[in-house]
Amino acid sequence: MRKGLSIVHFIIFILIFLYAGIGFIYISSFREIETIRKGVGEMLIADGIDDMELLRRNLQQALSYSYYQSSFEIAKNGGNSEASVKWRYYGDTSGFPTDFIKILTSRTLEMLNQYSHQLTGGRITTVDYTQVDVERDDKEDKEHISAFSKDEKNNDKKLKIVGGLLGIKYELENKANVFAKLPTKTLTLFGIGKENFVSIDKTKEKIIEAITAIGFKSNYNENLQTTTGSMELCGIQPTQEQVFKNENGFEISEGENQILENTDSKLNSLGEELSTSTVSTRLSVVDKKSKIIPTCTPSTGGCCERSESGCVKEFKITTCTFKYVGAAKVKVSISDIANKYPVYDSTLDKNIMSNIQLNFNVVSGNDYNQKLIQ
Amino acid sequence: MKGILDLPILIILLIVFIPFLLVGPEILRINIQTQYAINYKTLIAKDTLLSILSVTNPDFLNDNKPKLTLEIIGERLSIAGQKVEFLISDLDKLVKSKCYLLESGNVKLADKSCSDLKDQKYQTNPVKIVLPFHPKKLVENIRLAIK
Repeated sequence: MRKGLSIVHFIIFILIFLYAGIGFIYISSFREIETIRKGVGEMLIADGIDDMELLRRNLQQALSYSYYQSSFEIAKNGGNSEASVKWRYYGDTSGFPTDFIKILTSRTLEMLNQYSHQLTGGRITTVDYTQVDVERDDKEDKEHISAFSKDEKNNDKKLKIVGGLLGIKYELENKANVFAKLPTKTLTLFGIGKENFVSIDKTKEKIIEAITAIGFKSNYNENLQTTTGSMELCGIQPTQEQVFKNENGFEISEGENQILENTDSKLNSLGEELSTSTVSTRLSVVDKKSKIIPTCTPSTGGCCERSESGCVKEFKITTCTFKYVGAAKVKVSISDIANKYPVYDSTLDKNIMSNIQLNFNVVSGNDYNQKLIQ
Repeated sequence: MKGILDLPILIILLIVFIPFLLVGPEILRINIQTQYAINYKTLIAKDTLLSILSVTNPDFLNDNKPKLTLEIIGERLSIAGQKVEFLISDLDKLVKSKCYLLESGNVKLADKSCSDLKDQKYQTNPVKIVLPFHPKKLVENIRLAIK
């Protein structure tokens, strides 16, 4: 034994060295593996951050799409969620939807939550939004839309992304609140509508203008023309049909006649135009009725029905005062004609690019008591 | 005698296990390295996709007004249903190999394919993008493959 190592001891000796080598390989391998594992973990987290970034962009875009659609639907129905409404019935303006902003934001919220549910899945957990606000920024000529997600204690809820691989787990959180600045003019459209057809009665003004413009012709005396409400007639006490048979109507801006146009331009310090936005208001007369109510009294003087041979028949002069009464049912369309948005049109059952157009009806006239159109 | 008999068995066992001991960490290392490589490629593809979606481009559907590419793709998929021309120039700037495919379902949004681009290792997992509101479809999956 003392002379040398036996074969067994030699093998054991070799194996000890071999295992020491393997141990060294193990340590260095596991160090390398751990480094790669950390690298994979970092990439996983970077991938998660990408997913969170994309999720937030998607939710922001979903908020924009929801607001476009809500504006399209609510404006089309005059501030109502379903049927178009009558904002004015003669003096009664109770049809104006004072809560149109609430209707607009509620519908936006409903659609945003549909998007949010669709974006949940796999590693991603989204939230239910609880509130949407909208306000107009005149300086930027944009509308600011904000969507918030709060819990019962009014704390912000968070979007979550969880993931893991090779024993590495991560969880990313970010606030769910999203915001969008949009070129929409929905609030402006409602403002123009309210200003012209609720605060004042633009339809009534146009009816008065139209009636004032009627040229009156007498069957008996060419000189008896008037645009006012009184005149003298030669001999008869006229009925409406006799005297006004060709003049018993009036015209206000019918069809696609444009009566209002608001154009806003913003100029920079050099006087160059930065942006132009145009809102167009159109009136379409759906129905109209007019009535002329004469009150005639005989005068003392006389007059003649004349021909080439002179006086054919003598009459007494009749003095008439009369009242023109007109009423019209008008469909008002106020459009943001500068921008088109991607929206779903339920009548076509497809997505289209469309302007946002506010529609509502107005029934009005120059004498509310007459109420010629019910 | 007894100890001498046990020792050879131990030696034999140790010798038998040596290949496993040597190969074990190597297999694990290769596995993790493969995972790293796949993750790296998909991360690069996803980063590229995110960059593409985040830039603005003129939108021909709306008077060439500048819009986020994410929005333009969503509108094309839901309204126009056709290729988005500027995506090719955007991807050409970002993808050195000039070999890529951006698709949504069967719709090829931008396509400069090469032979093995369909290989899973070159593709991102599908990511969801939102579409303009439609009661039946709100999101669509898109996928980018880069070589």
